[in-house]
Amino acid sequence: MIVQEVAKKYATALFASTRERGLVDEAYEQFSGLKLALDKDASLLKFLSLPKIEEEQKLELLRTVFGERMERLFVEFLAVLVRKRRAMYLVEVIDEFNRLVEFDKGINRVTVITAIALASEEEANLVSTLAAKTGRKIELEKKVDPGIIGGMIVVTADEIIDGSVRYGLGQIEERLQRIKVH
Amino acid sequence: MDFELQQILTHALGFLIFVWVLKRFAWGPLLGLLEERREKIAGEFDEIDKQKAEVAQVTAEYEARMKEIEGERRAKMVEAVKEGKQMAADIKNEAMNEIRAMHEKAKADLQRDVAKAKVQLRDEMISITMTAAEKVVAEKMDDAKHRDLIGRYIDELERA
Repeated sequence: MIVQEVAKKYATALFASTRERGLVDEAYEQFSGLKLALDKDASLLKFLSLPKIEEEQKLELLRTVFGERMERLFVEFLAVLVRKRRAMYLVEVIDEFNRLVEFDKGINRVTVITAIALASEEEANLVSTLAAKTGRKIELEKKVDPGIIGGMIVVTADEIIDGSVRYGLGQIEERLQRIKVH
Repeated sequence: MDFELQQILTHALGFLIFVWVLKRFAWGPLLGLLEERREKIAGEFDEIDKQKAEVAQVTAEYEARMKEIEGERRAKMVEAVKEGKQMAADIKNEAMNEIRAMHEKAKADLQRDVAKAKVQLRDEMISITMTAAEKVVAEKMDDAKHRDLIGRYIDELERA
């Protein structure tokens, strides 16, 4: 499972609960600010992800640091991530959440992950294909991750299309693991 | 001779008086004493006979009780032996069941361990194979292959 898949689940839940309470804009603003801060300094994220540290201490820290600065619902969301041991994906969760908010506002941000940089022709092809499929203007975000070996992954607001070599190998591995040995 | 006769008569008279006095005052009590003594002796004999009879009765009762106790004891011992036999059988059964259970558990443990080892072996083989495959694939990936894969992905996206 790629990071975006996990992140999407939590982001979707956050989006649904903030929309229900009319807090989408606040969430977008506050979480984007948090993401910017975390991009600069990841030590807080590291602390929240350390398995050795007691959950209670992490929650205490969250409430002390963000209790006054963020909506209570958002602090509780961070607490859920800590309890589920998913704090290390916080940046990705915020990224997916932002994608959902932007989509809601008519901006279709699509992330494409490739092992090597996309050629401009490939990029143009991809954008036109996606625009045709969704009927929306595409804002393409490009990421290079050699870890996927080859192929590409497209992450849209509502789906992840994984066509990477790493995914293919993972499929083979899963099939091998289904072999009964007893 | 007169003198002698007189003397004799006097003696006789004296004797008669003695006898009379004796009979009048001493004979009765003397005979009574004798009779009393005789009765006492007879009574003692009776007592002895009675006691003997009692002893015999007690002895008989005692023996009867002894026999009874003996019987009871035997019955108790029979009971004890029976109980002992049952207990021994129970202990043996329990031990057998325990051994059987231990055996079953050991068998199950072994089967589980073997199954676990097989799964572990399979997973390790898969892991090694996949690591090798990944390395080979990554090494085989050149620009042409990258472009090919990306192009095919976009084509498939178009068709989907």
